[in-house]
Amino acid sequence: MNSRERVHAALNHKEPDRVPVDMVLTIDVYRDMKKVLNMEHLPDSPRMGRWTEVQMPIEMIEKLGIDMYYISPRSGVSVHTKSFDDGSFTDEWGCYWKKTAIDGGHFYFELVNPPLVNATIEDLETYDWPDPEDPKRYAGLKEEMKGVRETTDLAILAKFAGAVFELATYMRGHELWYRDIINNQEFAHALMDKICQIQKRTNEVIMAEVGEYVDILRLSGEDLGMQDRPLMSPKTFRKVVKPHLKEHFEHAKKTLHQYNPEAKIMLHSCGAIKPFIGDLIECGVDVLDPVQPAATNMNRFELKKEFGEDIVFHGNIDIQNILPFGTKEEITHEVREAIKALAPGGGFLLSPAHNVQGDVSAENLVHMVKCVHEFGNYPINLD
Amino acid sequence: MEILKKIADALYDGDEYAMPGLVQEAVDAGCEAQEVLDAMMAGMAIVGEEFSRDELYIPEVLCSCHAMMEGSKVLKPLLTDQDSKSLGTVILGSVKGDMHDIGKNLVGMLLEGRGLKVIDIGIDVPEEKFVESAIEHNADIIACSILLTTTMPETPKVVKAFVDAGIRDKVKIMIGGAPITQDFCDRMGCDGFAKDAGGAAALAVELCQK
Repeated sequence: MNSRERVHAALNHKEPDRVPVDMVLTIDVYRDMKKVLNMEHLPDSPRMGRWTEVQMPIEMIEKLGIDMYYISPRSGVSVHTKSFDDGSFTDEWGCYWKKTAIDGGHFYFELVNPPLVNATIEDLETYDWPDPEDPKRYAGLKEEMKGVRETTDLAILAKFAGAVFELATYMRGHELWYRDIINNQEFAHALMDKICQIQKRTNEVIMAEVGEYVDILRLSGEDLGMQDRPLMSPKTFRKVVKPHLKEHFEHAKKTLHQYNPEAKIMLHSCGAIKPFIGDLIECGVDVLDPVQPAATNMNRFELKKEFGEDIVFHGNIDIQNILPFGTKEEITHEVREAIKALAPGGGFLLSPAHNVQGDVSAENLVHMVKCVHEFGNYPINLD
Repeated sequence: MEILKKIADALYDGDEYAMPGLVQEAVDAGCEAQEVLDAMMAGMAIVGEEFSRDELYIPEVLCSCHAMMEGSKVLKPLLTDQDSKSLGTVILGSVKGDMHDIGKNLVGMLLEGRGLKVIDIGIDVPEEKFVESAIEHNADIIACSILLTTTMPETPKVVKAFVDAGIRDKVKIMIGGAPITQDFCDRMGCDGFAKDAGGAAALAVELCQK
């Protein structure tokens, strides 16, 4: 099986030849990976997204032995879009991303000064919203995706439009937004509806260009969990948030299937979200990422038993303790456990449980992939 | 009194918009400011405990905290110095490189709800600023919020800064945040860790009473 066939089998809950493996690197770990794989000729700063994730060159993907090519979204331009001398920037929604130094010479973009912190429901009508038709969002995308499809066997994981609930969090600020969903629900619905309509149109516009090349569409990042519990009560989720997510996800899936009926939609949602997984399946989500193993009640064996027939799992290799701080033996154990729990019957794409940050060594990632190649062959037979 | 029960219920329900009116009603009906504050603090203690037992979620707790803040604004001019004597002083901040503030703010509000004086020195706080603030405010505790694996290495720097300043034995150091564990806390030589904001408030009270 080639990579794409392997991924498709797993996505359709069939056992491929081995568990597919995937990862998205942030800039610092990418640079480390260049050294570890002896690939110093590769560019030092490939296209970088808002989370400092980079477009990993095909050559590195193939040398590393992973099965997927991840295409991160291009940004549009609006009246808000601005770059600052210190590397910080304001995005098309008006959110300010501050470039922040991290110990060891790394950096990240952190969200500060949310733009709608003082907004009323009336202000939502006059705010300068991004233009979903902006061709900058898909400039060069078709050539890139067509190239990957024609010159490699890799499956393509693409992210186009952004989030609804989580974007509202960015625009309003976490604290105020969490109070909005309890005490200011009319505003909360109006804001999510506004964002949802833009995201829906964005997906329509980009998928008309490149939908045929997508194997998995990543709907991003509706983080619904904290480390130890969901971000909100199931009652609040179902009443306030779920209707908007359902509208967005169902529309994304329908649009995607117009161009590629075999393709799947994947939701990224961090944290302890077990009480919501049934709801997400009902909203049409085919693949769940990142299945954060260190979060409460996210036991991989129980998740597979309860939801394994209805959803595919992507991720699950712990990035809070094991990948950054663990020994090789601990990484081996983590990979074996994830495969043992989630791989039987297909339905599992193994990956670190988030974009890999600069505190994870490239060596540990190479070891992770090696373990998948060693222990991930079907039929799975691990003690 | 009926109104105090109403205040406690509104606080638990996080009805931040109704709270100022209810507190004013209680004061107009002749309740002592301290009595009303005690009713709110008792409500906050329940919120913190239920949050620690995983029975409440962040949005509800934030609303309760804001209800407490709104109610307190009405009471503030009526409280005497004697009334507002605190259990202890806590310097609160997110460590250098960490821009996250919701967990920190929640801890701050729950600490205030338990009767501690809180000096919030913000996000992205270098270790020397923790030391300066602790000295300036004669703090009993510094509480460091650490949400990222990549900002965990700030912890030993904070501890060392207090050792170097010669005040490590005078100030307790508490840490918390998603990647933090009791084991990490022990290894770093900190005085306390709590897995959530409710636990942090209870721990701070305990540390101040030691």
